[in-house]
Order: sequence, then C-alpha cells, then structure tokens
Amino acid sequence: MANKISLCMIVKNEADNLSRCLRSISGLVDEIIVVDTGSTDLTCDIAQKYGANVQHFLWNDNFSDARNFSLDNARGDWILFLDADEEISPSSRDVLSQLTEQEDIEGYFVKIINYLGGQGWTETVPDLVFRLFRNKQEYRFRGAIHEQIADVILGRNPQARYQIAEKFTILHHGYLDDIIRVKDKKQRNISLIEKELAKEPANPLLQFHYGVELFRAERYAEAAQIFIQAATNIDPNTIYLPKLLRYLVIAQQSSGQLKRALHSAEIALKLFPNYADLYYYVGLLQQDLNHYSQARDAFLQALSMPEQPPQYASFGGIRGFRSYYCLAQLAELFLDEEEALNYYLLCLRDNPNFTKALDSIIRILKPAQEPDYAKECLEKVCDFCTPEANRLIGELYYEQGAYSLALHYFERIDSLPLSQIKLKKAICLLQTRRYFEGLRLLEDFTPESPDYPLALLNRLFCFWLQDKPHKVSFLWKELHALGLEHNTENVLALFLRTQDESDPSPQIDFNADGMLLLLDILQRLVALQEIEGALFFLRAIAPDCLGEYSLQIAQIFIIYGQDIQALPFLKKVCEEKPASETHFQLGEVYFRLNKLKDAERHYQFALQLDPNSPRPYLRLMELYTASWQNIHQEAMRKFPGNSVFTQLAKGGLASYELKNKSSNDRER
Amino acid sequence: MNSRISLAMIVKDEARLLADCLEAVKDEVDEIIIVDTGSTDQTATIARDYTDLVYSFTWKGNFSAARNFALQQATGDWILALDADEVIQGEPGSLRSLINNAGDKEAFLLPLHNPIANSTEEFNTFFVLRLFKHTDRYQYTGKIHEQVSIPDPEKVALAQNPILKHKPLPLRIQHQKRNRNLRSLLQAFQNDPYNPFLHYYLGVEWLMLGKESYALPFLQEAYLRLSDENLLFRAPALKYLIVCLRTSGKSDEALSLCLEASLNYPTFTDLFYLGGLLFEEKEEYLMALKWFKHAIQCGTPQALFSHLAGSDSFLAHYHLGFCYEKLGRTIEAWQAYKAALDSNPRYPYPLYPLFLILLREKGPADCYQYLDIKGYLDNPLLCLTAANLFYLANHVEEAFRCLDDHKDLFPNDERYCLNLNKYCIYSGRFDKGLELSEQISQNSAKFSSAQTLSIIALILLGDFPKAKSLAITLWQTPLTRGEAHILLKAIRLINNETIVPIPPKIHEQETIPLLKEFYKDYLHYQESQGYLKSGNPLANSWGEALETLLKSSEEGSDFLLVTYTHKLETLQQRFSEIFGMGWRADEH
Repeated sequence: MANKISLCMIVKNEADNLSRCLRSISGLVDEIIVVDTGSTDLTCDIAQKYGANVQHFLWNDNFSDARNFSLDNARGDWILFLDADEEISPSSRDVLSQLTEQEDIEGYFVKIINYLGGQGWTETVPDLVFRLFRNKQEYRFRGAIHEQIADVILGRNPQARYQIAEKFTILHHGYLDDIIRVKDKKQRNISLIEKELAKEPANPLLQFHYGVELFRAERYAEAAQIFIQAATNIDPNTIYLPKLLRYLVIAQQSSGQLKRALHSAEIALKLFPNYADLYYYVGLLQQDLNHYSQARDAFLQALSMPEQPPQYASFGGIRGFRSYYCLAQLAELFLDEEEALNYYLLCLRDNPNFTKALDSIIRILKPAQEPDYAKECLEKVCDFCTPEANRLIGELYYEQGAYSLALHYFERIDSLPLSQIKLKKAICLLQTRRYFEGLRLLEDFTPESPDYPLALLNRLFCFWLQDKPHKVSFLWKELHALGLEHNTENVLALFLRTQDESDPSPQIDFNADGMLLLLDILQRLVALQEIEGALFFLRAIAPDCLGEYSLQIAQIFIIYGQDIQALPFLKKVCEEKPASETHFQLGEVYFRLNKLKDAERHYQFALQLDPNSPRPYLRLMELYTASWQNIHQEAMRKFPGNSVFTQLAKGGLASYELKNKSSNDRER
Repeated sequence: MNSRISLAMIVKDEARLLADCLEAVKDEVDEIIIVDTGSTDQTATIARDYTDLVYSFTWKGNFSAARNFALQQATGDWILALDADEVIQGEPGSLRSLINNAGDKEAFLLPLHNPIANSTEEFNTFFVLRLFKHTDRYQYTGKIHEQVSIPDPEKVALAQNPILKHKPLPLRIQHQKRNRNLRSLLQAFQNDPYNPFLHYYLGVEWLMLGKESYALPFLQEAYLRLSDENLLFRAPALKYLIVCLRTSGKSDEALSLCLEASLNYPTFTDLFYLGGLLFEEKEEYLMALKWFKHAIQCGTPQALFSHLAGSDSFLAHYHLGFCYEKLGRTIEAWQAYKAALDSNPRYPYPLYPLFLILLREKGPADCYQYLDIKGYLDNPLLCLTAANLFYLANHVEEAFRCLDDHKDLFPNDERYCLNLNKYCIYSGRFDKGLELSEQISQNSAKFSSAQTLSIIALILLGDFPKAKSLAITLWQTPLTRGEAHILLKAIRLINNETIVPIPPKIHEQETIPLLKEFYKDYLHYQESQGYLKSGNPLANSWGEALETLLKSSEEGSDFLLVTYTHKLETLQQRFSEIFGMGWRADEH
C-alpha cells in the first residue's frame, strides 16, 4: 500500500517562485502544508490554487518553531520539506514513491543542485540535504539548521537508518540570493548558532554549521578553527565529513594559512583518497606556493578521479574545465603554448560556455600577426555554425585587433540587428582598406544613434587615411558641432595638422579619455602598418602624460610585430618603473631582434626582480642553448677534424634535445 | 751565583742563515763557539763578526764528533746548542732565568717550532734537548741525528721559553740534505740494526721523501720499540706512523692505531685530530665530529707530545665546520668556521666555506654586513680574500665595498690598488678605476696589469683612440704582447675596422689563456648590478668581440661551449630548486 506523503513549506512573499515549485511536485504528494509567515503578495492565493492547506504563523525569529508548526499540521506518513525557490527535477518524480516504500529507512539525504550565475557560463554547486523523513510525533526540528532534525531522529530512535537518495534531486534557483540574504542576516544567524552551541558545545554538526556561517561572514581564520574542532573526534562515517574537510581547506587557504591548508588537504586525502575537490585545492595551494610542478600533478590527479559520490558535493567542473583551465594557465606560465592550447581546448570542450578559455586560445594564436594560422587552428576545433557563434568569435577577434579575421566572421552573419556590430564591421572594413564599403555602412548611422559620433569619427579617419583634407575638415566641423568634450576636441584637431615632421607643432597634455581615444587611433594605424602616421600622433603627446601609457603603446606595436618601434617605449617603462614583467617583455623583444646580450640582461634582471616567475628562467635556458648551438655549429664548420666537437654533436646538450622531443611528443 | 752560558754550534756553508741566528742569540750567551766543518762560503767571516772562537774541524762523517769537539772548546757552565737554521725567540734573559731557577735540573728540552706554512702560522712543535750543564756526563752520541746522552732523566726539565724557530730551507736543499742524511743513516743502521732511534729517523726521512712504503716498516718498528720513557720520540713516531699509513691508503689500519693509542694517550691532541681526519675521509662525519671536539678539549698537550699548532683550535674547528656541513647542520658549521677564523685570523681558509654559507643563507648584502660587523674585514688578508670571493661569486659590488670601505688597511699597497681597480671597472666605475691605475708606478711589477685594466675601462667607456694608444704602448713591453694583441684586435672588431694597424703576428696559442681570463672577467661584469640595471652597449660589443676571438681557435670554442653549458646548468639547477622537478626544463 502506498505511503502518504506530506509536502511541508515555510513561505513569505514567494509569489515569483512558488508556482514553479508546486508545479514540479503536483500529483506526487498527498497533501501540501504551506505555512505563511506574513506574505503581502499573492503567495497564499497561488498556494491555494495548487490545493495547499495554507496556515498562518506569526514569525518569532525561530525557524524550528515555524517548521514544527507545519509538521503539526501534516497527516502523511512521510514529510518532504522544500523551500519555495526549489523544485524537484523531472526524473525525481518516478523515484519518490519507491523511496517511501522502503520499510527500514527513517529518512533520506537527497541531492540538491544550487544554481549560481556565472560570467558567461552556468555554475552549479551540488550538495546533500536531509529533506525526506518519516512523520512521527517525536521527530521535531530543533535549532536553526534543516539537518538538525536528522540528529533529533537519531536521538529518539537510535536504530534509525538513513540513506542517500541519489536519484531524487532538488533544483535550487535562489542560491545566490540566499547567500546575500544570509550575509545580511549573518550576525543574526551566527548568534543563533552560538546560543545553541552554548548548550551543546561538542556537537559537531552545530560546529560545522557555525563554521559555515563564519566562513560566509568571511571570518575565515575563526571558521578554520571551528572546522578543526568539528573534525576532531568526529565519526569518520559522518555524512558531511568530506564537505567539512573541504571547508577547512578553503577556510585556511582564504585566511592565508597556505601551508596548513595543504597539510589539512593531505590528511583529508588519506580519508577520502578519491575526492577530486581536495586535489583541486591542493593544486591551487601549490600554485600559490610557487610549487608549480606539484600543482600540475594535483590538477591532473583531480582530473583522473572517478565519478564523485553525492556526499562529496563536488563542485561542478572540478574534474573538467576548472582543472583544465588551471593546467592551461600553468602551461602558459611555463611558456608552453602548445600545452596551454591543448588544455584550453579541453576546457572549452567540457564547458562550451566558458568563454575565458576561448579568449585565451585566441590570445595565444596571435591573430593580429598570423590571421591565417589562427583561423585554421580555431576552425579545426570549433564549429561556428550559428550566427551567434560567428558574432562571438568575430568580437573576440575584433578585441584582439585582428580586423580582417573579425570581418570574415561578421560577414557570415546575414543580418546585423545590432548597430554595435555594424560599427565594428565598418571599422573592420576600413582596417582592411575596403573604404567604400566601410563608408557606406558608416553613413547608415543617423544622429539619433548613440554611435553617431563614433561613426562620424571613423568616416573622418577614413578620409584622413586617404589624404583627403577637405573631407576631413568637413567632418571635423560636423563633429565639432556636436559639442564634444575638450580632450576629444584636442585629439580630433590633430587630424587637421599636416604630417610634416619639421612642423614644430606644440605637444599637448591629454587626460585619460583623450589618451584612450589616441591609443585607439594608434592601434588602428599600427594595424594598418601606417607607422609614420602612428609616430605623428605620438609626437603630439606631451612627454609628461605619455609616461604612464608607454607600456600600452609598446604593446600595441608588439601585437603587430613592430618590435623596433616598441623598444623605446618599453625601455622607458623599465627605467621608470623596473618590474619583472616589463623587463621580461623587453627581453622578449630583444630576443626576437636577435640582440642576445641585451635579451640576456633583461631576462636576468627580470629574474632578479622576481625569482619566483618561471618564464625568465625558461627563456634564458633557451637563449643559452641557442648560443651554445651557434658556437658549436661554427666550431664544427671551422674545425671539421676536431673529434670533441663531433662528439658533442652526438651527445650535445642532451637535455635540451630530449626536452624538445618530449614536448613534441605531447603535441602529438 | 752567575752561571756562564756557552753557545756551541757546528756549521758548514751557512752564510745565508748564520747572521740571523747569531744576531738573535748574541746577548743571551756569554761566549760563542763556532766549529766550521769546511765551509766554502762566507760562513767563517760572518761568524768572526760575532766571536773570536771560530774553529775549523775536519769533517769525518760524524756529527757527534764535531759537536763534542765544540763542547771541548767551551768554557761556560751551561751549553746552548743551536743549528744555523734556528732562531731563538723569547723574552730577553729567558735563558738565563731558566738556568738560575734550574734547581737540581741539569738539562732542558726547548720547544722547536717547525713551520708548515709561515703565512698561516701552521707549525709543528717538537721538544729538543739543547740546553744542558757543561759536564762530561753530557756528550753527543750518534752519527747523524746525534743525541745528547741523558744519564739521569729525573734531571731533565721541559721549558716553554725561549722558543727555537726553525727556518725552512728551500725544497731543493732540503732534499739534498735528506739524501745525504739518508746515506749516513743507512750506514749507521747496518752497524746498529736494533737502535729504535735509527728506525725512527729512517722512517721520517723516507716519509719526507715521499716513499711511504719504505718508511712504514721503520716507523712501525720505532713505535713498537720505543717506550714511554722516550715519549719525546715515541709520540712523533706514532704521529708519523699514522700519517704514513694514511698516505699509503691503509686508513683502516691508521684508524685502529688511533683508537688503540687513544686509550693510552687520552690527552694527546694530535692523535685525536688525526683520527678526526681519518673518520672525515671515510665520510663518518659523526665520529669525526667527536674526535675533533676531543682534540679541541685536549688543548695544547703536555710538552712531550709532539704537537701541530692549531690541531686543538683553528684546524680542528675548520674540519668540524666541514663535517657539520656534510651533515647538513649549517648553523653549527657556520659557528665552527667562525671559531676557526677567530682563533687564527692568519689562516684564511675557513673564510671560503663560511662565505658560501653566508651568501646562501643571507644574500650578498647581509653577508657583507656580517663579515664587516664581525671584524673580518678589518684584517687585510681576510678583507682581500673576502673581496675576491665576492668577485668570484658575481657580486662585484660587494667586492668593491670590501676594499673601498677599508682603504686605511692598505696604505701604499699596490696589490690592493690593482684589485680595487679591477672591481671598480667590473662594477662599472670606470673613471675611478682609471684613477687607481695611475697610482701604480711605471716601475711596479703590477704596472702592466694596471695598464691592461685601464685599456678595458677605456673600451667600456668607448674611448677607442686612447685605448688604442695605450695598447700600443703595452705592445712595446715584450711580456705583455699577448694582452696588447687581444686588446688591439678587440678594438678593431668593435669599431668594425678592417685594415688599420695590424699588430704583428704573435703565437695565437699564447693568447688563449689571456682571452679566457678577459672573458671570465667580462662574465663577472655581465652579472654585476651596475650592468644589469643600466646595461652598456659597449660591454655587449666587448663581450661579443671576445667571443669572436675565442671562436677562432679550437680551444677557445671549447671553452665557450663549456661556459655556456655551465650557465645553462646553473640556471637549470636553480630552476628545479625553486619549481621542483618534473617540469619542462628537466624532463629528460
């Protein structure tokens, strides 16, 4: 015979969510008890529409009282507890009745999937909660925590058995809102649990939840302390022990106790050697400690872990894109672009919405310098069939300054609904010197459009490129008439100057906005290989305000392979603000220009400024190896009879040759 | 009662040393008897400046006979016997006060310091019977290492003062002497094969000539057959026997001997020092530690034990440091090296490992500060050494500071000037370097080195005409043609000149060692802070020019390959120390 099930809920102003929840459960339960704690919206009406027994309860700052009030009204043999912003997954519908038929089970831990918004992708955090249990008089909530009823049941009935109901899944939509809400009330929750702890100081579940509250309140060091207390003397079979240990590791990491966190993770891994999340955090910790090869091993371990049991509440992507992404970044740190690309691709394959990986892939492919190669590589691995995908990839190329490639994808979109894409497409046309088509697109913009000034500016730029001063000054007047900001005006005025070097034009001070516009123009000119034009604009800038932009200017030149132009700017940055990264960049430029002694010096200096960055070491090794090989080849040529040199040609810098071989192997 | 002292010497061809000997002793004795056994040099003339009592004695191949002849000529109550290569040192009148307080003693053993290296104050101490009552009972016996016969050991006392300082002879003469001694000893040995003293002397002579296998049986016999009553001989025989076993590769036997003897002589410092060395060689560092510590505890042993100065202090501390380092106990090693330096600042070797520890643990700036605070840099020898160490470790800035901050230690010291000059130039202080060069006079032996440095400074400053003219001057001294040749060629390479003054041919092969030196110095400059911070295009050209010149020979190419391999390996090592093994650079 079928056991009766009562759904119990506590609600307040949940009109937006309640329908979704009740719809998902409709027809599955025998009664619905909704306890309203003072809604002022349509919550109660909706509940009644779904046939709920609506009860009112005056909120008294005690979750347990409200929950127990709902239990008092329930007549079913089983209680299912849900929050309004939750629903059960469609597949769960089939299993609920099977669960309640099990005779020897007192309650179930069920899987809950918390949805998090992500930047461009969806993240989920799974967890286990105690929401399905037998309805008995003596089983009543206690304290602030849902799961505390599991303790109560065990207290009343030591023989009680619980199970994990893997196939029954609750989907939780309001997780982020909850966190925010909890944050708002964090002090209240903390003091609530503190009160209970005062009564039961050694209760590990209370300690665990207290730790979580402290963690959410960003009191990481205290949280770590509490987690350690909770983990001491705990029954190793406790269902939340894996989570507790992961919390401990993260709390220690967040409070800067990296070595301790690592130690905790190692201990936790002895108990749960297949817990992927722990390996992942070990990876992050080792990375922070500059132990990069150990970090790599840890991420690889995380990836090799089997399907995670529900009580691990493993974070989504740990055995996939998250670890791949970390591995890719490590590879980049070690200047191994092939390996980095591989991992970014695996990352993207695991989570196609994770655009950070796509960004990185495109950055590595250097589309501005090698558009054909970049295009070929990317098309091999990605499928751009939808207009949306074409737009996305076009925009990514556009951001990397690869205008011809961006244009290629923009042109594959038949309609251009968004004027922004239109402007970008027009710019791409100009950058590929298809002036006529570009101008036609730009002329479409009407004064009502917010992009109108930019369209005008680009037309002006186009005519300036074609050396048509009349049209330039005409458009300048039109722009001027729009009443532009002073700095913008100053930049525009530069287009009216002649490009004569002997012209002693005064240098101008620009503010940040003016400089931003100038750098934009600079990039466009360099992309067009209009180096003279670019230098003309640079000469107009007063040296004082050039200072902080030197690095950006240098990078613009570098993106388009203009190393010699980049040199003076990069040098200036190094002189004014010596930093490992900029010296490394300068070393890179010199290395590409085959000025080995200068390259060596800047790599060495970079290394001295930051001995924990692997890149200068790797480049120096490359440089020394290259020098060695040059000397060796010359010696072989000059002294063909010398057996030492011939011998060296065989053994040579054995390590180096093997090293190349192994990285080639990996590429395959 | 006023006893008179007669100095009795036998000499032959000692003109080189005799004056020093007599000058030191002339006011300590009442008469000077010199028996010349056939000098062909100025010996007799020099002797007559100090005494009228110069006798000639026909050499009969018997030292004792000659010595006893000298005794016969003496009129004093006491005899002081000296060799010409010994100098007496001590408070004036210390001889006389020994005699005045002699009581019933009739003879004294005086300490003889036998130096190993003068500069570092390492020496062995032996006690020798050289002061005794002038009576018939004290006569010489034995042909070579003649001994005064001791009728009553109770009447012999040990003296700590004065000291006899032995002057080491040039090696060639030492060998000559040894060979001569050996011949006579062997002859004596045939007549008297059971004399343990002869065994002892033969063992020592063979050992000193580097023939351990010949020495070994004699030393073994001597040690066995000499009793503790002859500790004066037995102790050194034991030491030499251990040394001999050790150098013949029988360290286990040596060690057993040490262990066995240590039971008999628990305060014989040198025994524990030697045992420590043996354990150290066997890489039994914990045991070695124990033995060296025991040596230090013993201190200077009682006088009859032959003693190597420092084996209870700086030498033992030095070796302690080494063992601690091997055991990974860096801090204790550091303390031990420090103790060694503190107990003998003239023995600079502990500074090397100490320096390396400091550099590793503290970095160059703090290493410098430590050495400075501890006062090591106030000692000219240690200061120069430290500067050189900094230079070799690519910290030319600290090398410069060592010397520049302590200039008062080195008034008119050309070696100092030259070193400082080098550090100036390779830390980018070209003008100061040039100034220092000028302080070295044209007649100085260091002049050409200084000129060479000046030319390099001028090249690094880009003043090629001046560099060239100095180089041409350098060419005119035949000894510095190699330097001039390289410098002129390098200048031409840097200037892209092809024709202008072609230096006359010289043997390319001869210039390679110089080129290597220049290049090594250039590498130090390349690592200096001055260069790293501001760079110098001329230095790059100089380095490239040197590389081009090196590449033109097989040896030079090989040297460059080794240099780059070394650079690469050093970097790889640092890399794997920081980032762990297993990443790209070390995946073999």
